[in-house]
Amino acid sequence: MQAIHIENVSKVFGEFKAVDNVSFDVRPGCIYGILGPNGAGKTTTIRMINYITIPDQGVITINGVKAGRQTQEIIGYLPEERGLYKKMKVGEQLIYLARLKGMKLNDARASLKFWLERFDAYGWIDKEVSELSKGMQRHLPFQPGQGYPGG
Amino acid sequence: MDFNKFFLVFKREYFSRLKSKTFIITTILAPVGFLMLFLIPIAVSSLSSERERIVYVVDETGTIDHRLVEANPGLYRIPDTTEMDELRGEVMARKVDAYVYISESVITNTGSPELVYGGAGGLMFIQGIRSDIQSAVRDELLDRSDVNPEVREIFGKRVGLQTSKLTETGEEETDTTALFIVGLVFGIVIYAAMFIYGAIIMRSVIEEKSSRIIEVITSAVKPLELLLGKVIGVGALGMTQFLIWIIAISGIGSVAGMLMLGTTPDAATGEALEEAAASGVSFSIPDIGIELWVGLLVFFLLGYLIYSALFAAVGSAVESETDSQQLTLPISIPIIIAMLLINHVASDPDSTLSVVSSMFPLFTPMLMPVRMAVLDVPLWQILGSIVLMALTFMLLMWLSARIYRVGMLMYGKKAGFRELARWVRYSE
Repeated sequence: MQAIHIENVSKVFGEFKAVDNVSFDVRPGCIYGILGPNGAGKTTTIRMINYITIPDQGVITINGVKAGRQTQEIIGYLPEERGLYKKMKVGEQLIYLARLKGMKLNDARASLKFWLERFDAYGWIDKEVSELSKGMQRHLPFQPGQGYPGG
Repeated sequence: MDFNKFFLVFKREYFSRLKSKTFIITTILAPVGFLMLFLIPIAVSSLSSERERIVYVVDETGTIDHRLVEANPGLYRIPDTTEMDELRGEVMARKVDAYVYISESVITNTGSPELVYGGAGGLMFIQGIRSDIQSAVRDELLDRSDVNPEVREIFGKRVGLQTSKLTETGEEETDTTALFIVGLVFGIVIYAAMFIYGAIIMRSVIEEKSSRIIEVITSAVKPLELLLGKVIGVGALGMTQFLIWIIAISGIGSVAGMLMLGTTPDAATGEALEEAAASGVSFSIPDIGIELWVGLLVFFLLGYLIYSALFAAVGSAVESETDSQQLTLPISIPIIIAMLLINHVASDPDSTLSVVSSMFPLFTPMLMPVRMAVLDVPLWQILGSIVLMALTFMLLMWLSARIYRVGMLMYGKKAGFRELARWVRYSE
């Protein structure tokens, strides 16, 4: 079974055809890159895999399950453009994002502790994001992306 | 719609703001400001009345001047000179505040006295002089025509007006001037709240979009859950703030009422009370009934829901607050029109214009509480307007959510109204 299976997927915004009949498979355990010029439809394809937008035509499955709310919870998505709430504490923020991903509060806490200790960043937990340096801020979104079981 | 996710968003929006400094500061300062609104005029009037003013009286007839001096020896003086230029000089040099010139024609009722003042004058000051001269001239005319004392007494009689409103349950003594002011204050508070809370929602949407956190969030939450969680979370915050204020204002109101009585000790004398009644000035703070407070809360909440949906849609279409001007204009227009109608609605709450405009869902939040303050609005109008607002909210929320889900992921181009209309028709 393929980790990601994409078959004849198209997406149209008004008159604009963002993705035109795309098909590809991603095998389990591999790192996969999508290359293309601006406007080629990379972001839209990745958003469709994440069920942020829904294809007009075609099928997307993750581990054999049709992309939807369920598959959202097993994908750690770290977009190129990412950010954090500036006025929120690091710990609260990461737990919030993990819980939106469907984690239970206690699991989210345990996972937060594990990963922050692993990155030697446990001291940040009660700091607001705006107090951290740019470099420190870049570490953080990695955490909720990783913070689900099996991730 | 995943209720758990909606609830997570709701909790974050509500509690992160509840703990913020801005919320705590504005919640404390607003009732203080409200208290100032009552106390400053009292302080000003007691301060300004302490300043001695002097008005020269130049009287050709020689009969009015001594009456004025007798009536208010502190204010009116008879100058040593009757030379107009010298008098003007003294007014210009601010040695005196004003002079009054009374010609013979005033007595024969063919001309008017003249008042020439320097400085700011002031409405109360001029009003006071006018009424003093009127009394003096009337007394002089009464003396000349040698009327009997009874007639004289009739002319001296002052009538105060005691107002009370008859409700369905029987007589209820209320001060309608004060309720009129309460209505205006409610209208203005809701007017300001629409803009303030609308801006909070808009800023919150812009923050998520410009910080790019939205991309991570939408990989876990549907736009409608996020938008509803945000709108209802901030709405709950608004309700919390309004409830705190209502409790605080009721408390402060009763304290201020006592303070006001304290600053006017001579109000205890019947004469002063009569005077106050006659001049239409009232110091009493009206009793604001529970229905009125509930009405204020309900119409604030519904109005907030309607306008926040619109502000959220605008927020999703721009990347910074400075870009939002053009798009917020059509939202501001109905709020401002309602504001312009407030005075009419408060003074003539039963007119067709007032009824219709207060039932128009975009105006209701500002205008219905005004009417509720000044009269017993028929129940069908209140319920009808609530239904209309709820329907409007659902329609606008649906539209906004469709704009929002596209706008929040759209970067780089400035969207106009045509663009927004196109987004509504996009598939998911």
